[in-house]
Amino acid sequence: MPLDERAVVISNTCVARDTYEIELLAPVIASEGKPGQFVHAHVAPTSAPLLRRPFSIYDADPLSGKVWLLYRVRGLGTGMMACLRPGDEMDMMGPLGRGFTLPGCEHPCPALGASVLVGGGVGIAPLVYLARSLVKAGASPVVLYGASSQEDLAARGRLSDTGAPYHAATLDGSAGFRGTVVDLLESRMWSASPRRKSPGRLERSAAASPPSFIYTCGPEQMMATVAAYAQARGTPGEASLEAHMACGVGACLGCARKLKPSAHGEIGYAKICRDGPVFPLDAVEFDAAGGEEARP
Amino acid sequence: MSEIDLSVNLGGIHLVNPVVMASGAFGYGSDYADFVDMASVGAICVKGTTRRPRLGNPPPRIVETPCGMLNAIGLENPGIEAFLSEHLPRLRAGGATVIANIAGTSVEEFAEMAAMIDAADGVAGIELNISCPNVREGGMHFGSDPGLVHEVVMAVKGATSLPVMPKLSPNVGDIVAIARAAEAAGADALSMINTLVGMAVNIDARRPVLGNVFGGLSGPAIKPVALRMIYEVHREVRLPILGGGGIISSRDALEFLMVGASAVSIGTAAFVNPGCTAQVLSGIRGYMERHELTRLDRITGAALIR
Repeated sequence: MPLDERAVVISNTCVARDTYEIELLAPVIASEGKPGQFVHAHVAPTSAPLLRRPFSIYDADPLSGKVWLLYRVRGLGTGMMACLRPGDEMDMMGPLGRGFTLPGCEHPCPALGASVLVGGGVGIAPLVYLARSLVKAGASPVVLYGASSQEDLAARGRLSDTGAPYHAATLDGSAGFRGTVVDLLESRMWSASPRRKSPGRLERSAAASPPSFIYTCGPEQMMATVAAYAQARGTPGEASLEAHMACGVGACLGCARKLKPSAHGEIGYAKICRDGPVFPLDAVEFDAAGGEEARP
Repeated sequence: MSEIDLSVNLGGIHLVNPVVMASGAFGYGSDYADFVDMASVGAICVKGTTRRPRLGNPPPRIVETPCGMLNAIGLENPGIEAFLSEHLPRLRAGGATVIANIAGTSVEEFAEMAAMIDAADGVAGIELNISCPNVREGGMHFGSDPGLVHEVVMAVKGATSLPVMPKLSPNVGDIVAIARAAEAAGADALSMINTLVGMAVNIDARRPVLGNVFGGLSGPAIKPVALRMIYEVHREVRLPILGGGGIISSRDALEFLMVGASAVSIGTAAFVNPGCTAQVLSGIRGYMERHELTRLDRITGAALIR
């Protein structure tokens, strides 16, 4: 059951360019949160910024009661969040929304095979906890992690710790594969071999057959390309979407998103907070030209 | 000291306390079931409901502004039949006092929906949405013309025996003229204010942020406007007022009561803090204790300069 939990900041560290990792003590969310679910955080008890901010659960440890969030400073809200210090408190509603399909859940899930997790920028956040959970469930996921530059690869340390092999792609080639993470996906120059500590070493391998399942989160344009890749190969998958939202629970109807009619099963907009944020990859109508806009 | 009585008679709608969930902020109650006891608030004004189901406006639908937010949901709702058959029984089972909020596209449609609600069991009153800024047909159009306000209220009063409470738009030149028209037509109470029309621009895309271009501004940013309008109307019109617009604390709520509101509605603040209604109520009670007041009507209108 979701709740409003008063989380205590343990640490709040700049881990890459404009990108922070905040570690919080939030025992209930840590024990109940599933990969792909999110928390709705009230970053400051003020009227400016007024609204809560949604953050995917980046990582969680039910035993210690700790939750980690990864965020990029985009505006006033995340700017104030970056100023939080150990001992400060932050209201967090959660866990909210529908997370990723995992092996062992009620639905048949092909992810137990060679699933690939494609993340871009801070969109890597929900995929880290997902990778950890998939490995724990006995699956063999591979993570492909894209960013503009080496300075933006915020999640490398935590990814290494999940037990899943990962490969980086940077647009400027300063780390890993040179190009987009989708270029890397299409290049098949990655494998599931356990070179976990050497993400820069790429090789063509037997594992270069199409993945059995694709999970993705990141910029709209990136996910649009991933979806096209998956569709061309008939590969199932899931995408975690992002939207500005007010309530986070489905009441305000602000985070509406049009799905393909055949996928949604009914006329109307899906709500990212309540019906998602994770949706079947083939259900989403991606905006390939979609850009993001900073919040105040 | 005698026991504090927090109950309110809002033009025939009995509220156990003066804190009401504003329409659009609580859906039909189920989304906040984990966070709020529906029986603990004075009443729930449900999501604006139309005769037929509505898809609503294309996204983006909300954008944050300094101390507020713009929304352009466009009255997405399942239609009045689904409200009466699916949502109303659940709200009633949860112990809620339900105020239906209806938005017609014509005077006849307002009356038709009022009659449908009248025939159903368990609605305490009807709020007329004549002030939604986000729909092309109906909406704010009805609430901007005293003649039309009179016509709508008259038609609805003729179709139901339930208390009728038009929700007034702040997007008018003379709010008192609108309130007077509602009073003359037999309205039982007034709900004020709805959102202020505004917009925001995405400078990277060089286009409006909202899919609907314009949206309704709510939140603390609009509180001074709401207070002024309620003050003006309370001075000239005898109807009880459900006042709202940017309330996030009991201090805010007390300001609304003191300029003439008999009860207060909380909208945007509940998105941020689902426990807001309980905190506001507790603060009002604390104020009454400190000032040895036992009834809310000692506060309503107390700040009026006569």
